[in-house]
Amino acid sequence: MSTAHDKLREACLSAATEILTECTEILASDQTIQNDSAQPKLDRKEGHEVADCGDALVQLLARQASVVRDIFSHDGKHPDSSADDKKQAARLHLARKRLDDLLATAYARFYAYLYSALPLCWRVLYTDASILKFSLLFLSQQQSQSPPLLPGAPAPSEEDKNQALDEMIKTLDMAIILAGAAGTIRGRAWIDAAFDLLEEASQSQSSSSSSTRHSTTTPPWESSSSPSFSPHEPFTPPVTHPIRRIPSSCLSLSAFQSHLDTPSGPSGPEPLIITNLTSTWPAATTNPWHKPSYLLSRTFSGRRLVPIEIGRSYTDANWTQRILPFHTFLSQYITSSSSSSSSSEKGYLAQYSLLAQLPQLRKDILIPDYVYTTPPPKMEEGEGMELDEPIINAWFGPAGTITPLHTDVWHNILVMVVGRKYVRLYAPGETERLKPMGRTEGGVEMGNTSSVDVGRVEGWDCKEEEEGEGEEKGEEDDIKQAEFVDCILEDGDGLYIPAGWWHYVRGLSVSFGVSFWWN
Amino acid sequence: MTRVVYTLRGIDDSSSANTQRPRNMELYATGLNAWGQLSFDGNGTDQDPDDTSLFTCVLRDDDISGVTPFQSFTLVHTSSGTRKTGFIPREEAALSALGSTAFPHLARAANGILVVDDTHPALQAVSNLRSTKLTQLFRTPPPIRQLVAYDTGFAALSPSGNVWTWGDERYGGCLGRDLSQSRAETPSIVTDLLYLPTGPITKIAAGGYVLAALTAGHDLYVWGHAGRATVAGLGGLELGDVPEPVVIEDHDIADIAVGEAHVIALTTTGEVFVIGSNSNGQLGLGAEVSSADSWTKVSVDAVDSHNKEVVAVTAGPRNSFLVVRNKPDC
Repeated sequence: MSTAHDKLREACLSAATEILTECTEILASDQTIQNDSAQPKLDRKEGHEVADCGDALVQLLARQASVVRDIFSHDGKHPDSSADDKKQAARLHLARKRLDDLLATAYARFYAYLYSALPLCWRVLYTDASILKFSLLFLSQQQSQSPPLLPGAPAPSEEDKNQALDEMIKTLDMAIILAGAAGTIRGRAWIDAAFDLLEEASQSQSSSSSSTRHSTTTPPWESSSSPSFSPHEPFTPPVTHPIRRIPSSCLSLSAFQSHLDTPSGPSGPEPLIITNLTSTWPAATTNPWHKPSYLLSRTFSGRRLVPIEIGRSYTDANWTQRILPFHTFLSQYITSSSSSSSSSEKGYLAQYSLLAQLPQLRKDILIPDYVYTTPPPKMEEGEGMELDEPIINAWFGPAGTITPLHTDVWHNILVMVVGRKYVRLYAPGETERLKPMGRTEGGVEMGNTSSVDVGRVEGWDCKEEEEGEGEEKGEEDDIKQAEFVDCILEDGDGLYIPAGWWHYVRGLSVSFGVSFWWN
Repeated sequence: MTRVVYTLRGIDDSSSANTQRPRNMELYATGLNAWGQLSFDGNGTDQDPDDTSLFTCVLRDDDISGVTPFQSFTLVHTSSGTRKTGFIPREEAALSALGSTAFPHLARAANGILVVDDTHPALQAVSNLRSTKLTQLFRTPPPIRQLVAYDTGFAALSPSGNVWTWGDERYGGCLGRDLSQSRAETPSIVTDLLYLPTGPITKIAAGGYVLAALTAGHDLYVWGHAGRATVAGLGGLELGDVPEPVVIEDHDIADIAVGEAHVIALTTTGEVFVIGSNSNGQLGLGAEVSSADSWTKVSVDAVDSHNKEVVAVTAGPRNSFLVVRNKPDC
């Protein structure tokens, strides 16, 4: 057994022991639940966050932690009899069902509460139940790989092993994507470490089993024959009111600060393109984000899950979200030949904290110093909290992705790493002409999104159906009078989007960008 | 290695009757049993009780009514008073002490909001219920016959058959009414349930994202948030955002119960129909069934073959109960 394998086993055992200890302490303490606040209470001890889920769920979680701990600590010894073995299997099976029950219970709360009002305990419960489920799956797989106890029992097939591995990965990725890998004792740190160990363990296993593989081959992306994403652009809109461009080497931090401090009008500082921003980023040099082979190597061979927005634009009726393995996203939406045609369904990894989920990719970028400047205070108060550090989001999609005209409460630098995007911006003063949406029927606030579809008004996209033409025409006249600036962002460019400015973003080729929100 | 032993607090707090004479009534249960909430036999030794997937007799008594399932425990009114089984969390101890008759007057949604019918005498005494800021005291319009919660809101039924709903606007379908006329958060009458052909509403039920109402003339109406209900396994209900009548093989409906993702209906002829998720065996159709996408009849041999009849149905979040009575001799 490899070291990584043993370390992972150790991590699972200590997670189960910790969870059991924490839950037992909670049940023995005299604190009552405080389930009426999204804020963790000051007097809640570290590791006791799940207490607010109530005694019943804490007790159920403790029982499953106890099962995992018992099985891990007895594992390795041969069971006394096949009856014990059977009993053990039943106990394992029931524990898995109970962990799924706990996950379902926590998950239902994610919908019942507004996400901003969701008490932390439900995210911690989801994360800890996921960690225990992962540990159980890891243990089951480990047992099935040891020499079969019963003569004649079939060894697991390669396919079984792959399925088991996919399920383990899914269990932890869902905890990251849905629950934000919450928890002070384990949380994201535990999950990140588990992924590293799991990948190392599975690699050492597959390289030892296949003798044909060379142990010291150069990474596939270093070969010039490994393909890059297609630069094909089905449609390129004209740029009519270009934004000023300045190379980063000519824009010192203080020069950018003075740009921020020099309003050109009532709308505050203007948008600005800073070129050559990624020349020192590994993502643009040694660790090429423009090569599928590199991205696959950083996503557990593409097995890691990512949330994908499906549909032309989030304002369309048939828009939806799906959680897919990274390799499926690549093959279905990015590299397939049909993905470049304008009619096919678009899949867009949009506004997602991908780099927090995949720390290996996070190392490939550098936060531009410009986001450590002090932008002018916002005009409206109350919106958007004070940020201690920038919010980093990834935007990765095929040609033709559309982010409809909207505003954000934070200042933004959108950096293109791969491909090209068209961006059009309207100053906050044009808001009335852009006809912001109100609250939707479902009570969702859409006031930061315009009801104007820039692509349709400009005739770049065909209209879905014949609508009330007279009304439409009046609206189009309004938007056509609104003043805007626009640009095509090339790889290496960073666009400064001032807070409150309306922006419409359109992917021209396959593109991968990173946005930095700050205030 | 130390083994942590959890006591299932509150197991069977009544003295067990020793008499052997046959009891007049029985309680059958199936589904989630993670805290032993389906076991009334006083045997709390099983540390990790498993679920059941077929309706099984769990209690016999001369008088069984007011079956009230909570997440981890069950209250039942019997001839010897309220019986409790399962795990009673400390924070629920005050509630569980109220007895099952209080529960039509108190309900908690999955978003943490607890609504208390403050006009009910038993609940006025429970002062600590009012201490949390999420507690709403429901005073208009008293009196309330029944108060129920779904995941993000509430419904109340008055003795004259009016149904009020209020809750989270994002799941407006659960409110069953025109939200341009009255706010989601304000208790307001579901006008589509007024003046129905078979009379006023006599019972309401709710769970997950589904609500149901029964008329005096035994018609069943359901409504809810179709999207969430479908994800949970109740797509077969084809929910609208206003009450729609449900037809189950032309039967008249005598009782209705709604769980987190399943619904149980009792017909006036004593048949039990279920629909929805069977994740924990809550449909009573056996472990091999994962869900029922259309109304499916449940047969309980012990009931069918012994001159007994089902008189009431109840649903916990992920389990189900049937109250069974010996048929009077002909």
